[in-house]
Amino acid sequence: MQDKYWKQIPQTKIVVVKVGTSTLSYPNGKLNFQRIEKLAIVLSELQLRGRKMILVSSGAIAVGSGKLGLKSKPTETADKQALAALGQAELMKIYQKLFEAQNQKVAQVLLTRDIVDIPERRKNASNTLGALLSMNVIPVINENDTVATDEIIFGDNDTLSANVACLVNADLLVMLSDIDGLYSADPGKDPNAKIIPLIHEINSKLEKSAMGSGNSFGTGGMITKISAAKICQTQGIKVIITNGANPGILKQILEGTPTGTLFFWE
Amino acid sequence: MQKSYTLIFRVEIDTLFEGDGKLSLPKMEHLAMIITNLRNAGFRILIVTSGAIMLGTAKMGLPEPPTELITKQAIAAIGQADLMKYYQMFFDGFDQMVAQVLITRDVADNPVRKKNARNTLINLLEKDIIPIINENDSVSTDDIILNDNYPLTLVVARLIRPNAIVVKKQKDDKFMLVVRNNPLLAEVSEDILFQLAHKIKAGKDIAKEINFNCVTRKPISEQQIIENAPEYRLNIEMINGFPEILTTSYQES
Repeated sequence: MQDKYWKQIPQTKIVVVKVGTSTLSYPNGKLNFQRIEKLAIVLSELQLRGRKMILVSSGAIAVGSGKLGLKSKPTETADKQALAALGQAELMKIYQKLFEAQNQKVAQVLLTRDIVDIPERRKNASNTLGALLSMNVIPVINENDTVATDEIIFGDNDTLSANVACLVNADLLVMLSDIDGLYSADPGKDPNAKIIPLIHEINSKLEKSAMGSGNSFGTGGMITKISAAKICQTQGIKVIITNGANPGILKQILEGTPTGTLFFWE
Repeated sequence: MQKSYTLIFRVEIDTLFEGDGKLSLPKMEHLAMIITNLRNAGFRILIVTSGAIMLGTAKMGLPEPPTELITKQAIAAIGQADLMKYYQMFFDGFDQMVAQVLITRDVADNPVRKKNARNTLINLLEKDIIPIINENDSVSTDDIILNDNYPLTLVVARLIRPNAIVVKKQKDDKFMLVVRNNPLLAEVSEDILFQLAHKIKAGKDIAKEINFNCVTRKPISEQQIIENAPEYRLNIEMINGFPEILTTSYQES
């Protein structure tokens, strides 16, 4: 039954891909370069085939901590901000290197949540992203932690990725996470917990089950992903939540192979 | 306890680039050396830099920087990562860490933004990391329209209240120095700049030292500044701006 919906996924043109820190790094906080390289390869290939790809990436704080040689994650917000400032440039350097090896140019765009609220900000951000897409450059977007602390405190960029998807009129938002999709119950506690393959509407029942599903990995658990999907729903942007352990999955997704959880609005 | 002395180092296009628009690696390396040396001497240093559009232009293989605003923004987003890459590379060579801070001009007007930005900058300085600050052109077009980062320099000055602002002049390899509480424009050589650093470390009053040491010194009148425009334009703001900075409430931290 869900094939009917998945068949439409290959037609998507503008695709936002969101990766969280847990996808980009090992449990010890160090970067997983092989995975980042695979991500760069698959995004470049999809771009080459005519799609407009946009990457929303976390990871700056993890990189900053590594650079300072910190053994544990910082807990103070101000420390995190400083580490983000230190790590973001480094993160971009890595992306640049890996994407340029694929002959693909990237640009850094740092945004804050007020792109939603302030019309002038919104216009500027939308202009910049539009121009980059028309130049065939892949924007690599993160929250500007220097002036905003939303991501650090809340959602590991889930909300930002949804706002970006709306800003560029994307067809699809893919959230790569460290779990396989949205579960019907906590897979750690309930042996009958299953991935919900297809969702047409976000209702209170679904939100409740997400709250109880115990998927609270990283900063952003399932709750922030559901609210990101909700933002996308307002503009009819399809959303997929799936495991990013193998970034090559993006290719399968865009070939229409069912994977993870698909939000297809009706 | 030793008093810390904060400098904003303003880096303009011609501080880093040759006339033909190419990044000068020797210029940048020398700059990294001078700045690291000042840091080692005990200054707390922040850099306000331009250059993202120049590097983005080179990367996209354009013959010259774009004039259309939207294209400029995109080119800045492409070039900023490169700009930081070069800063990192050269500062790494002197074992000095740097961090990227992108802000908009209105950062000081919004209390939350202001607190966040200030916290980040202070925290970086405390960790001995040099913040490299540029305008976030993706969401703001102020500096891009002016083609000039001096207003941003003043915003940073409002955030952290530096003791002085330094601009590297290209013509004669001198540094222009604007010192707080001292309405005086000093042009000093690199040697004098370092001598001053050592004297500051020894607890001497920098303003007096600068009066004594600078190669040329110009008492500031607005008329003179206008006559010397545009490179002294900063000082009009400094005269008007610094007293305001000192008298308004910047005590929260």
